[in-house]
Amino acid sequence: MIRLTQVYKAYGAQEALKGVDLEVPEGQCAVLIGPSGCGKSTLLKTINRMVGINAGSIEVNGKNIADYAPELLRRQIGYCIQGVGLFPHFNVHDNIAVVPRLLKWPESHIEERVKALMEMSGLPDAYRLKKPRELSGGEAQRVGVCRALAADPPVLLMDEPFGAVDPLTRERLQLAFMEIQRALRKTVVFVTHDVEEAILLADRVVLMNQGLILDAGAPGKFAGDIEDPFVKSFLGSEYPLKLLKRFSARDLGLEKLPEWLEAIPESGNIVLQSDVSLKEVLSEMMRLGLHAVPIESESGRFVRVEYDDLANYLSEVSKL
Amino acid sequence: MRKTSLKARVGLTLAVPALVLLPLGTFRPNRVVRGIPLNAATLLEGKSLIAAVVVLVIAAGLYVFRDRIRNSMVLYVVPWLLGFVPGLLMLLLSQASPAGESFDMEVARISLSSGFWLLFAGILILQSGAPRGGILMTLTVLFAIAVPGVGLTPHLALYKEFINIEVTFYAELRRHLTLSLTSAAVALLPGILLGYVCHRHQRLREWILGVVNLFQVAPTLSLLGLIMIPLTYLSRNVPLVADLGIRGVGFAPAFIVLTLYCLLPITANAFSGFDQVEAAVVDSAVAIGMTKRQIFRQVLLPLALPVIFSGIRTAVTQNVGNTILAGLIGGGGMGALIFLGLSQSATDLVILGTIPVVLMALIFDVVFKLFEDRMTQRVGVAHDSLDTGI
Repeated sequence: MIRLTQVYKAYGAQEALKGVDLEVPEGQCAVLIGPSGCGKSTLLKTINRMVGINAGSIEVNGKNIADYAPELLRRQIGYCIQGVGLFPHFNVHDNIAVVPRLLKWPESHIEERVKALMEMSGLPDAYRLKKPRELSGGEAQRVGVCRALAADPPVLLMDEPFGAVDPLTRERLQLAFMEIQRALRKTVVFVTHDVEEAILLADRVVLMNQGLILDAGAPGKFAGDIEDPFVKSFLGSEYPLKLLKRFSARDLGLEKLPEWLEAIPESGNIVLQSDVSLKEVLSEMMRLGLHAVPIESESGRFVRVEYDDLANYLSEVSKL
Repeated sequence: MRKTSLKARVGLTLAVPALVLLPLGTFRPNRVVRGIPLNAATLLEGKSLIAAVVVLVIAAGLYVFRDRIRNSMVLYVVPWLLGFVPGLLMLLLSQASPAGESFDMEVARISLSSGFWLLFAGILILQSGAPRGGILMTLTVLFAIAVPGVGLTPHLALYKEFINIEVTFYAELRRHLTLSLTSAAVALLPGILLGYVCHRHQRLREWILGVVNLFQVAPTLSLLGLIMIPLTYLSRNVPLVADLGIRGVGFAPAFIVLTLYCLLPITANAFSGFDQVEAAVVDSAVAIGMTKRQIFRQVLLPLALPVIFSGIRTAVTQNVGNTILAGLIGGGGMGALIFLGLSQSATDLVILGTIPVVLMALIFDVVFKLFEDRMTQRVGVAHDSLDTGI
């Protein structure tokens, strides 16, 4: 768990952080989002002491970070940045093994660990001896995540890790990351300027501007009424639509919904399954020009999902 | 292909006029007399020899303009044949004497003249464009050294000068090598450290590079003069210094000046080597929890090494040349022979001193370049994730 209390940081006369309070419970992913220069990256870097703070305190797992030597602190915190920063003269294996080696793990243990990580992140074993320059951007990013996870740190800091890859690769990396996070349940602080990425990955969206946290909450929270005009304009009027992508049809509680009694509409598509996102469900309604579509539930029933079910679900979520 | 045939053409236009128009050697009845020029016409006695030369020139012409005619594979023999020319020419020259007179061949000698050197240069340039040009040029030079080296050219002035001073020659050669290599080696550590300081501290950078640059732009000779003053003072007033054998002239000042000279290429290259390491790489090294020392040894140094190495290469090759000046202040080296030759107007001695310097510089350049390439290969180019796409 990470707790920041009244963290303040200034560069000369320029105030980067003006008293920030933030708490990330264990196993949760907090996504810091805001316009460039809002202090989100600075905030992230204060946690592993890449940036020293002028006032306030930061605790990681109940211990003040000022009590550690910076190097020792950093070895317990996974770190992953845009552009990856892999060591070009190390091969993939050695890149991932850097932190375990700093921690003096036995070499056989490291070997196993690297193998497991590569498998988990979908990198073929044959890549172990490749140099970073032989990897595509997406592959390099995966290696970067592996390196951050290598020593199994309880805390993970990610600074726009998927910022430099093309949209298709980014989506794949996001999905891979979600899967990893679901399995490992790290305490993650993730910086992005991409609203959709925040919605997808966050347990908690933290909105920053000009060195302050303006608002924070579960992604659903921002689908409802927002008072702050800046938050409203930054998240955009399409926010509810984007939010739909985070949830799947399963989240509606399909078994409670009524049976689809009419004929299955001829759409050329196969009937939607329970794991499709709500955004796809809405798209399907629009494609067919209907207020309701059939969805095949996990038990094989065809249930009737209406537009109102989506709208109600969103408003429910926004009140959580 | 284009560039290759350009090199060949330049080589040919240098070699042919040198062969036809300029004297290839000079016959001197003794060491100081002016001498009689020997050109190709007087040198090539006998029809078969003339015919051979004519054939070779025509073949060279065909080789050079092979892209205009039918490009036959046979022509690629030509650069290899030309490789024998300088060595054989020396053999011919050594036996030559002007017709009609007799000389005491104990003291008479034949110097190599402008025609020979230009012809030699032209052949090397022509070869440099050929396939396996590097090896070819090396073999040509080795052959040209081997012919007098095994004593086949007893009357060549260079050979006679060499025999005269053989013992000193090797001693000075060793001294030259020691002086230039050790002074470069001594500059290595401070150079790299200064480069690192430049990389870490922006404010110190200008100062350090400025001072280091100052050594470089100051003429070597005046730097030698300047360093002699404090050294003389020290050796007279500090017994320890005098005990160490340090004086205002000799090895010490030469060594110090050469070391200072090596600082710039090493420092500047070390700085730019460290500076070209991607910021993201260094950042993640910090974020991962490496100490400053670990970052330097595991990340910065290995990634900067190819660039640093190229600085070392510059320093060493330049140093080999600069070491000649040590001869001026009693520091020894090939400079001692060269300046002796200059003072005696013995051009052959000057050339005898110069040739090893040129060869050493070339050899170091090639050897270091090989290391450098290997290192660059190992380190690889900096990774640019934006470029690679999916």
